Amino acid sequence: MSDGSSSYTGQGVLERWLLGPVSLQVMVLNRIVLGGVLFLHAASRAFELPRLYGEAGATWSPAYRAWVDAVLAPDLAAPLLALVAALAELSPEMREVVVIGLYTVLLGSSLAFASGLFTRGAGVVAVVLHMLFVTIHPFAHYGWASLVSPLVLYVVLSRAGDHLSIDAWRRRRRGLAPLPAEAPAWPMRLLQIHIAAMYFHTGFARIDDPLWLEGQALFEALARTLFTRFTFELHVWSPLLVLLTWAVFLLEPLAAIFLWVPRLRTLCALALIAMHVVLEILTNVGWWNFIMIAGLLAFLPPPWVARALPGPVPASR
Amino acid sequence: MRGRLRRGLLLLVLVGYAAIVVLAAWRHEIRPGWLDAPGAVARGLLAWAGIPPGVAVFTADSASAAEAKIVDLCLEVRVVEADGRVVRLHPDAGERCPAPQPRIWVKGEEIWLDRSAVSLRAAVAARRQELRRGQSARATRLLAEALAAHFRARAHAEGLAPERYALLWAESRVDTNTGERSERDVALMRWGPVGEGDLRVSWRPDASLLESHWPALETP
Repeated sequence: MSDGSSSYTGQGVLERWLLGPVSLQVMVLNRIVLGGVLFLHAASRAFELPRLYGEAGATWSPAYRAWVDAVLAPDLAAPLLALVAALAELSPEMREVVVIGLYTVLLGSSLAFASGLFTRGAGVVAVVLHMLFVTIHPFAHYGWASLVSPLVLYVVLSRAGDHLSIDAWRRRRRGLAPLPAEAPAWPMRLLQIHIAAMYFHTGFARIDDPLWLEGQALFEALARTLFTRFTFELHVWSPLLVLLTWAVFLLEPLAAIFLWVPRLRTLCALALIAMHVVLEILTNVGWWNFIMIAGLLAFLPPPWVARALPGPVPASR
Repeated sequence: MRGRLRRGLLLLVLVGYAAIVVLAAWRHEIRPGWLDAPGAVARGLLAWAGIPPGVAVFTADSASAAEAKIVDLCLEVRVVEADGRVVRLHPDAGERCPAPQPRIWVKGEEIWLDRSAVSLRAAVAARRQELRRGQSARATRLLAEALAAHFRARAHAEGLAPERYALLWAESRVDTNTGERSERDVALMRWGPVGEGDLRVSWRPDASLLESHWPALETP
């Protein structure tokens, strides 16, 4: 299978693509960005903890939980819903203690994951607790909060903790040799497939949507104070907004294909990164753009990604 | 030999997982239904073990709460014009909306307002998927936001200077045991001008705010 005679068969190509070695740079960067996002998101809510997840808000009221069950239960993981149900059964005082404890562990584990301390274990704990808090109060989160989970798990499955991490530093201090800068490609391939599938989904979900066909989607989004960062006279910019809407309308479904075409891959990834930068400037959609840009790094030439890293994680491919 | 077998199995698992990720990304209407099976099985197992999904207790208004289903949604928009006049936008008393006061009725792909039928087809069509999936309360919140955007755009386009808007939505429910219909207001969205040419939306999940914070809207 891995000998020369089979290397040009379909299975051989697939095996090289999925199991062959690639540099760990992309996954290291994703560990830092995704772990950082989980930490900063949780930390930014520290002062809102009582209202969002505690007893000061409506989160634990039967009416709110009923609303969540009626509306969002099919979209949430059943074991987490069961865990939330168990929390709801506790006395308010006990629940407050448990929620604060879980929140503290979330902060610690996400910071440990970002900095590469006990990377795999920290990543699993961080993502489970992150999703638990999403399940407790789903209306307080944008869609990115769910998308980030599989991406974190791909990083956990990789050897992203081997470089630019506290684990690597501790290894050096013990006098051990540094770990290889390459690893089997499959966690990064899963990341790439997931990112492309996301554009496939969003691109084709709107393919017959009049709002997009008429070029009004960006106008509508910027008119909503829920999303827009700035309030300005939108009608002045209407023609530009129509053009930008149509550009995104074409770019996202095409990206699902172009990201796999070697000649177009880099250009397409750069266009998508530019789109996310503009969206980040104009709109407030949580951490969505940051995690998508981190994922798109997997489609850029490895030497470009290497430049973003301070330490010696050699680019191999 | 064992190494080859392990690599072959790993390849099989990876390709299978990748295929599921791609299939799950298809549009809802062509997405294979069996992709939802694991979730349904997990919920079935939890139910079998006596573990409830969340806290499934409707306390508001239904005799047999756990069996109550959200069956319809009604929107109501009241506008306070610059001269203080309160105008209710009520295209259709809507037999689907049992409350006596006029409501906006989400009718297919259009929302009908008073006087002229104002089509919000684009805004509503964007939410068709949610409506199809029966996630009606979420769809309504998104509809309400779309409606707010629509008013804001209209205010800009036509030089209108509406003083304040309030949008209230309600869930009507049916008790599947008794067939009894009931309704409960679940949320209020209100918005009004903050700066020049700006309409700021605030969203509160508590309809009682309508009375306590905005008495001017109570009676036309």
